[in-house]
Amino acid sequence: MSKLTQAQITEAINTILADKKKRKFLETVELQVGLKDYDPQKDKRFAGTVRLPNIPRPKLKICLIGDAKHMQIVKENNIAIDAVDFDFLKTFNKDKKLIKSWAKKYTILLATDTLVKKIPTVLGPILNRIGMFPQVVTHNDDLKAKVDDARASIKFQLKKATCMNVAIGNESQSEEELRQNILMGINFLVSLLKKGWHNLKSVHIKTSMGKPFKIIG
Amino acid sequence: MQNSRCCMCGIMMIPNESNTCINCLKSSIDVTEGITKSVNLSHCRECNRYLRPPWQNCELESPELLSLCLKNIKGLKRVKLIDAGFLYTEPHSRRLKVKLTVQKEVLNGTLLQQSFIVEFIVNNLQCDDCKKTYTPHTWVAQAQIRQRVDHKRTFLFLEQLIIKHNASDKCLGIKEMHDGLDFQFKNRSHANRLVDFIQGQVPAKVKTAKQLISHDLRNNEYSYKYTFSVDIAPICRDDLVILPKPLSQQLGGIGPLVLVYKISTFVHIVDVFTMQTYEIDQATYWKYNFGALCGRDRLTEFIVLNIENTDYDVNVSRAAAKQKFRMVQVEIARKDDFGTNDKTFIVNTHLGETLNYNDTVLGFDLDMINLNELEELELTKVIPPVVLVKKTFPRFRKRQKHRIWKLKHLDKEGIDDNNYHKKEKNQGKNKKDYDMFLQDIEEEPELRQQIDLFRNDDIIKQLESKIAGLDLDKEEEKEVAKPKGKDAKNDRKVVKAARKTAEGKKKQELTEVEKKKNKALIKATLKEKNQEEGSDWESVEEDYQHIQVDELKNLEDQLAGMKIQGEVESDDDNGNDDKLKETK
Repeated sequence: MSKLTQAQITEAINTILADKKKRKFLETVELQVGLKDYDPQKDKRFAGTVRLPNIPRPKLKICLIGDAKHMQIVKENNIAIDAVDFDFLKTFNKDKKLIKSWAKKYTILLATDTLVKKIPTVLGPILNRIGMFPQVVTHNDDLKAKVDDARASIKFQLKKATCMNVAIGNESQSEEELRQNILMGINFLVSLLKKGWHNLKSVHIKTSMGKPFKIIG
Repeated sequence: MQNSRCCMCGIMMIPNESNTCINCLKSSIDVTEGITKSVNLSHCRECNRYLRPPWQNCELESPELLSLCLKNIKGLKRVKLIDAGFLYTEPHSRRLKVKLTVQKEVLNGTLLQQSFIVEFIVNNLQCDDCKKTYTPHTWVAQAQIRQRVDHKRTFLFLEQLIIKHNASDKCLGIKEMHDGLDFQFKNRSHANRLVDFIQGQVPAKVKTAKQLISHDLRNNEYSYKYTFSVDIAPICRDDLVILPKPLSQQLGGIGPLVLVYKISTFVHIVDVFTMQTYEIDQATYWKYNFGALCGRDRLTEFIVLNIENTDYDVNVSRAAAKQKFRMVQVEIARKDDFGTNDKTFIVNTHLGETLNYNDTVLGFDLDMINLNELEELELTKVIPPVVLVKKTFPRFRKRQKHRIWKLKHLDKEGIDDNNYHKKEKNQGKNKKDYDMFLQDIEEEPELRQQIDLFRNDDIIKQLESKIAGLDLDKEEEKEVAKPKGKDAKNDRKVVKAARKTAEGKKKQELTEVEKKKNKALIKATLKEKNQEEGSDWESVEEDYQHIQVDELKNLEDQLAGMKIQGEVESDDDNGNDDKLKETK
């Protein structure tokens, strides 16, 4: 299988952007990948995150589990994220449903490094199950940059099924920006795979409610 | 009756058959004739023993010494011994004097009694046992037990097994050597017995050799020294192993990267990928003779973040179920990484039955360990980033400074190492190995079953005083707990008998309440202990939940049991050797 050419991607982007109705929300451009020759029971299950050059999901909801210092930073700098302190987590009292419904409100959780170690004891395994274990923020990090990072990065994680779906951009982005994101996303995924390009069965892109368009396969 | 005259001296006397007066009779017949008056006694200076034979330990002027002396006098059988006693002699004179009174019948019906003194000359003679200590040729057979690995774990375990089964009772001496132990025996068969015992416990290879010491041409007698060289397989539990390719194929494509989860006479392995288990017998093992890739010292700690069941699990057979293996997929983070970065691994492990969320688990971090063999393997096979080996209880371990049990040891001669620094280093290492071994005993019930534990009374007393001195507001509980300790045995019987009746039920409920309170009490002690150490109780409590329930029960039972036994002990005083009862 050959690598992707720029023309292929440009064509695909043009097709999906042209062929869509006006929706009441900002549609996301999604990347759907199917794998082949990959047995998730035997082969290594990979997981990797990559930071895309352009933020695909600007409105991503993020929640910070922070200590006093981080809470202050959030307030002072007016970063558009929610912030809770550690005592708030204790109020869940390990109730699985409560935690889940709270965590599901957000797409990404962040936590101060000192608190991360205590989170498993307070919340239990639920966060891991739904794949939302908090990312670590230290006091040295720039919180704002970290939040942007989190928004821009996408995670490829192989579960039991050999297909994946990630948000790679949105319709407000230009064709060039989308192309950059898609190329980077696919290239990164390929780097994770055991046999590189040979493991890719199919790649589609689509807008949230539009029709899919096959790039590879 | 008329008096008559003596035929010898002519004095008047009461007539008797010999027609001789007593004085004449005495002078003419010597009763003590044939009894030796001077005897040589052998005495060993080293151990202060006399030769009876056998060699006997006795004090001067003691009844034992007297009987020993009488035994050595010849000719005493012909006379009747009336009295015997020591006369005083200066101890340095090396003489013993015994005054004997004997009786003998002379001339039909006339009894003659006479006292005399026998002198014993005490000669020095080295006894056999003392001789042995001076000569190097004491043993005839020797068992050299070796395992060429850089830890002492196997030997610590073997030592306990040997003590339990009393396998080395005929042993003359035990010498510690590099990589192992030497057992010396007087007989070849005694050595053989120990060798057989060890072969029945671990995979081992035996070589025998004999050396001619001397021989007698005339009667065709030879004396040999026999040596059994026992080579224990250089792999241990929790070792990571790469199977040789032909062996891997022979076992149906298992591995080749496998984990050794148990060593008996077989080597028990589990594939780190498919979690298939297999036992390799001794013959097969020695045919391929593989070593460990990396051992326990390379283990690092991980934290379990998530556990998921896998779709398939090969461990459904009955044999595998016995091992309590269940394949699960876990998400783990290095303990060092946890809280600093987001790096996690998703691996399959066989520890599904024992692992819980947020446990600490030990594993081989193959991403970090650099091994040539692994790199070669990587070309053909995918290897997992981490191989989990066993669960661990780090916080629980910290508190186990004072164990209420101890182990017995064989007395061994240490290695006489001239190099001081090396010696120092070895000692530190041995101590570490020993600590690890004790921890293993605590964490593995299977290991505990195989060996004997003994009560450590000092620690128990310490703990008891601590419990007594505890003044948290739990006085009631103490009152409840104490009587329980006293009649615990009776209680148990009663409960068994009365369980069916309604009263019995009530009683059972009561005892359960007591148990709970006891638990609280123990927790309280631990809490107090912890406050002394200055760490926060909360975290310990959290950890407590994750220690397997039966593990915890065991500890509590031990604590409760120690109370019971402690009280019994004050009655009969054979405390140290009382075995700790294995709690169910």
